[in-house]
Amino acid sequence: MKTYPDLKLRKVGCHHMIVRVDESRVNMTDVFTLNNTAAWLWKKAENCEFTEDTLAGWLCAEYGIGMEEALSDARDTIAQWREYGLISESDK
Amino acid sequence: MIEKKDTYFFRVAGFLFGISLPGNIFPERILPSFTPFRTSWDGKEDPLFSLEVISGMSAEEKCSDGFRVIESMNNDMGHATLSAGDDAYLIGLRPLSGSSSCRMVADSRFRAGRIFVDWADANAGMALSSMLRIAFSQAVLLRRAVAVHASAVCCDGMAYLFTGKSGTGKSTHSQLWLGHVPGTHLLNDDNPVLKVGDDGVVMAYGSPWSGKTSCYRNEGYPVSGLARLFQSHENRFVPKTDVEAFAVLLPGCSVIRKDSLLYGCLCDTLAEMSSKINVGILECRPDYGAVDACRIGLKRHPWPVV
Repeated sequence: MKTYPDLKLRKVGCHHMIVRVDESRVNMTDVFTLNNTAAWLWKKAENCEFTEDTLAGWLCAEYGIGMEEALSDARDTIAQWREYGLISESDK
Repeated sequence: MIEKKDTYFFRVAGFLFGISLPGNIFPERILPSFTPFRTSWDGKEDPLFSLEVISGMSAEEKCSDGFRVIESMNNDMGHATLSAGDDAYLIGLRPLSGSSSCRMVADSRFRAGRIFVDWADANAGMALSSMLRIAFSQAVLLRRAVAVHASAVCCDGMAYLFTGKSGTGKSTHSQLWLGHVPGTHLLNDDNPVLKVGDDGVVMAYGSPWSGKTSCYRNEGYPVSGLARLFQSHENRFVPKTDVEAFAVLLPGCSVIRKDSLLYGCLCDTLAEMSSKINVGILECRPDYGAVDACRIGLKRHPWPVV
């Protein structure tokens, strides 16, 4: 998987957001707010290929949690990103 | 055919730009709202953009080969068509149905371009002014500034901006401030320019574009706040901060949405502004109570700590 290159993470005050232009609706823009962990993951995932395992590995290393918990968090995060159309599936 | 050209310089929101007009066309007559912004060029400063205005259009220049339409819309400027080419934009504008079309071809950063105008058309000046507005509003995005669809007033040396959909009552709300708050004056009624200065202060400037109101003030003031208006049965100000403030600021900004560089610059600038000025939603009636609610809401803290 990859993040779309146009979707840049920005900091506003003490929050993080991603802004996406909605091509299908005139004058509509989606603004997504990310919590600190999601923002940290997004920053690491930008410009590289990743899988659930990649994200889980990062979470384990950073937060010292078990692989099972990390994988579950990674799956939830990716599912959300996918649902909102923030990531593309890479070529196998 | 060779046309003699004279170049005139203007400064809006601190940005210098040059317009070359045919020798028989005078800016005071064709662009009267630009007169307060006339300036001279020292020969050194790098202008924001330089545009050459050309009389009429040859068959070759009417050709749109190499461009594809990306947006076609009716707005306050008339009917506009935006086409993208290889590192360039082509913009067609018809101010009123029945009037002839005006065209601009500019590089994709709006640094230089040519505008083709039919002077025989009664609305030629209006079309040229609108073209300059389009070029200016895109070019400034790369310089931490943005042209906003808003009405703006100045009170006690600070600027207050009101945005909202057409017909919401932005101008009406400004007029209420003038009638209710002593010492208030209108800064611009349609298209003020917001800019983050080198010192980090967010400023609002008047511009040559002010909708139906003749208010072309060459002035700038630090921004106290911006309210997005919604008609309601009662007056209520709802403060917004951070990401929510960003989402309030975004809709009124002039930007080519499909241009990821310009759009990215706009988002960077608004993200910075969001935490530096007071932002909120004003649910309002067209009365003085709305002014009081708005004033209290937008004067909470002149310069919030980031």
